[in-house]
Amino acid sequence: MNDSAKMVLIMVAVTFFCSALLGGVRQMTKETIQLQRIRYVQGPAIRAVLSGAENDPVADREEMTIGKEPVVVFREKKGGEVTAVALETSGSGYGGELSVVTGFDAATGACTGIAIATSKETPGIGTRVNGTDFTDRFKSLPLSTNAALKKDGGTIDGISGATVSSRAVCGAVAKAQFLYGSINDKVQAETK
Amino acid sequence: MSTALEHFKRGLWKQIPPFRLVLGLCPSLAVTSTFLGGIGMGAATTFVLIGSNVIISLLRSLIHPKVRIAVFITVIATFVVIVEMLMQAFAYPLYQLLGIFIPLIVVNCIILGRAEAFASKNGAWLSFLDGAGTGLGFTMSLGVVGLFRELLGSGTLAGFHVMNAAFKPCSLMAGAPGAFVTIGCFLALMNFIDAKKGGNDDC
Repeated sequence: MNDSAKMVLIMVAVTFFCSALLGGVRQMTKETIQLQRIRYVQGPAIRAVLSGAENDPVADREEMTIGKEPVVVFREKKGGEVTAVALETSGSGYGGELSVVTGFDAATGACTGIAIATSKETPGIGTRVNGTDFTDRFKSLPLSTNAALKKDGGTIDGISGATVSSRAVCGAVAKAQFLYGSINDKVQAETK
Repeated sequence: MSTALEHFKRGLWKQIPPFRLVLGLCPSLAVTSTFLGGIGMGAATTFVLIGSNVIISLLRSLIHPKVRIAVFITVIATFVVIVEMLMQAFAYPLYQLLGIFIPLIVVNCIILGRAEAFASKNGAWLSFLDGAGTGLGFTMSLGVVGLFRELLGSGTLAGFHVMNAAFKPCSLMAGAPGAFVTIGCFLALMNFIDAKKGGNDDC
């Protein structure tokens, strides 16, 4: 066998084995990584929204498809009953995608609170939407009232100087409201 | 056996990275602002070093000299991605701390340097010892640098407050220049010790 054929062969063999190895490790760790990501990235936001949970909302999550969108639903349980539900949705902020966890009261559908899970907003300006100052403005927002800024005809006071970020949060919450609206009946059935 | 032990011990003092082997400064600067960051980075690098050293020494007679660098990098990159996935699965907070510097282990010169200078010329067992020694040395160095920078830069030790309230953290030490200062001081100290002992002909 000549030299260059040998070269090609060994390269192909090495890359083949490396890819096989990587594929194997990926298969083995895929689910754990997904769980870890939810626990450490969305986890703090989920705990902030479902503060009364006696269960572990991350472990009790359910993946469902609403319309055509895949959604992960987190349930807060108290005394074995579902008391609140949280969804993660995203809006388009100043620095890219901004993801928000929105909690809904299982009985009334009102917002129990929101928390920002991940964002790439400008530090010190857009990141002000992460503060409870702003997120508390969504508390007890009824399901029938779409989250929107006052300047867009809604009820939420935006943060001056961070309109794009505030609007992104509203957009994400409105999306969560829309998605929750279609599973509201199902969740209410569970509470009884 | 004494020579085998020599290969292991070489990475711990005579050629300890990044002080003696002034390679791999990028991770040394970037992640040693805390003790845990330094140790975590060192452990990840050690895993990659041992893995790539052993595989490359096993393949050394098959690898054509013309394509050796490409093969080395493929093997190293494979181990780096494995360590990244394992860290995400089992030590996610550490992964969040180290972030982009985990995939950047691929371009750590220490690993390619050991593959080229040692593993491609020696057997698997010796290459394993060489990788383990160099990796352990690197972990120790990063740990010590991280310890000093964390102590002076933020007044904590592995996240616990140890300095008294009057201590004002020195922000220079928390930034990248602090790493240069710390590494420089250690290098000077090591040279001083060697000079006292009567010269080090290895350098």
